[in-house]
Amino acid sequence: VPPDSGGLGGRASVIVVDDDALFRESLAHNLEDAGFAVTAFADGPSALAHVGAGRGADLMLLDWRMPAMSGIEVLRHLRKAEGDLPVIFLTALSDQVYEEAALIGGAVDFVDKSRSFAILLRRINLILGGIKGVRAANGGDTGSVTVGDLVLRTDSGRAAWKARELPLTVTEFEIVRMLASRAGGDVGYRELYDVVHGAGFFAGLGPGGYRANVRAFIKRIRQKFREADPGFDRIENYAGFGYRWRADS
Amino acid sequence: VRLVLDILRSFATKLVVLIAIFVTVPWIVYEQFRLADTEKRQLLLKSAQEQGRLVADGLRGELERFDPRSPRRLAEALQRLGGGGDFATKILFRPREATGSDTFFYIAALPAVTNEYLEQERSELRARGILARVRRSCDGAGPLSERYTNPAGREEILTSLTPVNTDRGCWVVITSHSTAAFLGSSIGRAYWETPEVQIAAAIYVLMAVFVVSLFADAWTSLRRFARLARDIRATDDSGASFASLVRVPELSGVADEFDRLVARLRGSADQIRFAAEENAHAFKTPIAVISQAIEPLKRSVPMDVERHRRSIEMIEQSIERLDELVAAARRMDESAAELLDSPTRQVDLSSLVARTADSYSGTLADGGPRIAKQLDSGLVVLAGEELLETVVENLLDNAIGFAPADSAVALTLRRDGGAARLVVEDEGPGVDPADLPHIFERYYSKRPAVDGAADGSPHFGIGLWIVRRNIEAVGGTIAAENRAEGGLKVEVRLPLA
Repeated sequence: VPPDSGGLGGRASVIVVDDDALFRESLAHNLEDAGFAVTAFADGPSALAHVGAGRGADLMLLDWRMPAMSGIEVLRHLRKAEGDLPVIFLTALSDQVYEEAALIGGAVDFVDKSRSFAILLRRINLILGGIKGVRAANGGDTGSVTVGDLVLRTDSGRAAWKARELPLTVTEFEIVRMLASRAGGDVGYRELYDVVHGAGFFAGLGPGGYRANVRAFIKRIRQKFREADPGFDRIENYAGFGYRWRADS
Repeated sequence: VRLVLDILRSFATKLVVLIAIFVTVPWIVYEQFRLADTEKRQLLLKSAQEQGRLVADGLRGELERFDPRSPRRLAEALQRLGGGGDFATKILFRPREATGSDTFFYIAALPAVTNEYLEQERSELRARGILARVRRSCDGAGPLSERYTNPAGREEILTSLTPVNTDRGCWVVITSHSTAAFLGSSIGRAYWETPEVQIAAAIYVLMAVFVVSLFADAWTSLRRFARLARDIRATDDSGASFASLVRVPELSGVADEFDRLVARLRGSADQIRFAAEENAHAFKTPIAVISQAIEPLKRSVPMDVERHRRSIEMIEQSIERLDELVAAARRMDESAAELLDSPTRQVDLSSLVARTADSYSGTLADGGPRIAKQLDSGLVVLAGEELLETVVENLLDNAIGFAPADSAVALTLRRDGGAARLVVEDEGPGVDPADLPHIFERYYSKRPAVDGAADGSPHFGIGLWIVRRNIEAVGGTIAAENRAEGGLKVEVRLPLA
């Protein structure tokens, strides 16, 4: 079933910007097969020209390392033009500094390029779904969830703690949403892992490898909260099982 | 033995010894020179005394025949005897019937001086108590060593007094010297007051100050080096250089070498990090294409054909594994870079442990094992925060996982000399002694496989391995033992910052 975009009434449109011809081609085909209208560009300037000419889209998938103009520069130009086109970084660069720079620069997510198409599709749908939800409600307050000092704007995938914006990736956002929506209750490693990769997925490290994976996610999330609030201690460990969001007492 | 050698070799010890030598040597040398000087002085005095005795002997006849009405004769005799000598002579007389210590009269002097001069000199000698000694010396000759300033304002040394007893009374012949040979000697004053000793002492003190300050300079330079070396290790870009800190020019070559070495290490570390990211990027791009390109195949291959479906599955799993391998290789390269240039910070271990332990309060509420913590505050180590957090979490997870529901997991952090000692103890079953040496090895797990874990999954056996890797990466040690009361005790030692 092709997902439809609230804005255009037809198929959701996605812009792909990547200098690797093979990747661009294979990804574009997969997205088209999944029901999206795809426009692909080999470099940043031509993509910006396309957007600047008024031919918008619902989403942009952006590579980081490209000749002529890097992905982060493309994002900067987009934000300067005051467009609200959501951008997902899709790159082989995995260092955390890139992720943070991208999220702070206004990207909604940062996805490892070598991940399977299923994972990417999941992220795209989460983002477009959030936007659709809000557009359907015509800008109403259904797009926002508040748990104590935590505000989760499901429309944009943005989170704020004590009124300070947190640069969370979509996955991190989903983990926080899962923990917070069950505040005071325990959430197991496996459940959290399914948020990360989709149900039934197993990482290459073998059974049990996902614990380390989830732990790394929680660590990053805590770190991002602590950067906004050094005294943050809402995410508690439940040894051998998982984590929980401590409810307001 | 090692410690003793270290102490003996240390700069501080040598500095102390050097100062001790500088203090002792003068006393020994001074004493030797003083003794030699004493002999010389005695010889000088003896010869002066001899001169005085010769004069007195020569005058004896004249003194016995002395007629107060013609004192010129005595003066002439004195002129004959003492003239041409390098000393002055004075003749005093004390009548037999006189009482009191200062009833001495000047009778003659060579070189001749005025009466007024004599009177002044007499009162000066009396004030200094010399006349009293002259009186006592009427009973016997003796050397005299008394410096005084004569009425003419010149310094003189009284060198001898020789009594001559006659029927009329006691005559005393006093010699005094004012030549450089006598004035420069230590006669009539302490040895240290002589100019040669004072010049030598001044040179010596100057030299001592110079040598000690040279030593101290080298020592402080070395200490700055050491401190800087630590700072450079502790932070990834402090911007400080050895060359800018060194004050001894001869060390600046060494400092430059050190700076070059540090720059090269950092350069290599950056190179490795750069190559790691580049390689991962290069490898991941084709992996990304494969994982996209497989999508249409997945849909077009009839899934009811088991072998086709399996093939696709295998490709997908292999891509996944390849991706993990690329990521793992990148992490390994990065940890190699961190060995060269570890971005360590000062981490407040006390608050980190407290915070991590507090994040387990949920376990407490559910009737699970309690965490009983006893933490010394203010223990700071050089490490990465995240790395240490993983250590504490994995140790606590492990202990809580084995601990009975109503028991306590003891978490202790103590200062132990120059180290922080973190101990985690549980009341669980402990570890088979045969397995103890292996519990920090990778893929070792003796946890009951499925039914033990709360979420129904087997344990993987990497938790304690990660703990050891992290601890060793920041220069710490880890050990485990079974407690006598039952349960496992894991002890981590980290050097304090």
